[in-house]
Amino acid sequence: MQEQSVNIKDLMQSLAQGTQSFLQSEAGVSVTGIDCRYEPVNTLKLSYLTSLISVNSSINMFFAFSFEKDLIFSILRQMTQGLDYPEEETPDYLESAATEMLNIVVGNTAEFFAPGGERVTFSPPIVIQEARNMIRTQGTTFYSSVVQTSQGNLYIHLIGPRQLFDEQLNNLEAGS
Amino acid sequence: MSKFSFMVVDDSLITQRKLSQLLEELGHSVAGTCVNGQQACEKYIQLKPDLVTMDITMPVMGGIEATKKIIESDPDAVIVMVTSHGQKQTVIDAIGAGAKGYILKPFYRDNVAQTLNKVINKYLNKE
Repeated sequence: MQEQSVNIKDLMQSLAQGTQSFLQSEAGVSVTGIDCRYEPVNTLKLSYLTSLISVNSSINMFFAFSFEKDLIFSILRQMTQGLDYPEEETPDYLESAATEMLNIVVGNTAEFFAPGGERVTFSPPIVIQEARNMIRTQGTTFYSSVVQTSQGNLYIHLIGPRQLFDEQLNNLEAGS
Repeated sequence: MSKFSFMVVDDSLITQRKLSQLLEELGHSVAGTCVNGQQACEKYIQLKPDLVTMDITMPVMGGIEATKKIIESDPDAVIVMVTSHGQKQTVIDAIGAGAKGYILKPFYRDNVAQTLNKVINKYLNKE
């Protein structure tokens, strides 16, 4: 795998801080702890709902926020305060809450990916609605941190290299 | 301040709804909404809104390309970018494409109102 020019520790810290800030100021959720890990891991936990984005920069990885159920519903309630919508549209609004939060947190770290000012572009975020564990295979790298909140956990995952995965995070070479 | 018609372009359902609601609270009307740049180019011709709020990262066609295309078809189009991507280069790209203003997400009533007032006074309230 191509060597990353971005420092994983700084990146994880930046993402965790951005997540904490968003949760507290925009979603009214108290963060009770952050377990920031800077070493690669072998297993990733995809929870109830996962939003996913890729950044066209020197870091060749997917960024994923994986939400436990109570947490994403809590975020949804806060983000849609004052908006009426039919109950059957709840899944659409849940997806929107998950992708918008990821977009804002990762988007606001854009300067981080390109300290020299080079152009950084982001993919439109997508959503995976399937709780499962991902096992690392040869040639892939996983990083993971956990933001603990009063409403459940949010997992921050970095998954690479991008070309070895499809948009549902299936490993293309392993055929999983 | 006069009331203006807006077209809101954003692939996020929540942002689309919240921004539309905010624009109406500010006394404006929302003529239409779009979920990507291609739809925005098509609907702009039909709706001819006074202002467009445009997300940058969207499927099918992004906001920078859509802004360029709309400005090509109507050089007087007034487009304000609303995005979470605050990188300087992105702002430069947006302004280069013809955007008249830039609002960073998460957005708040006061900064939306302030940016829109500036743009309206400069480009739409001309005597």
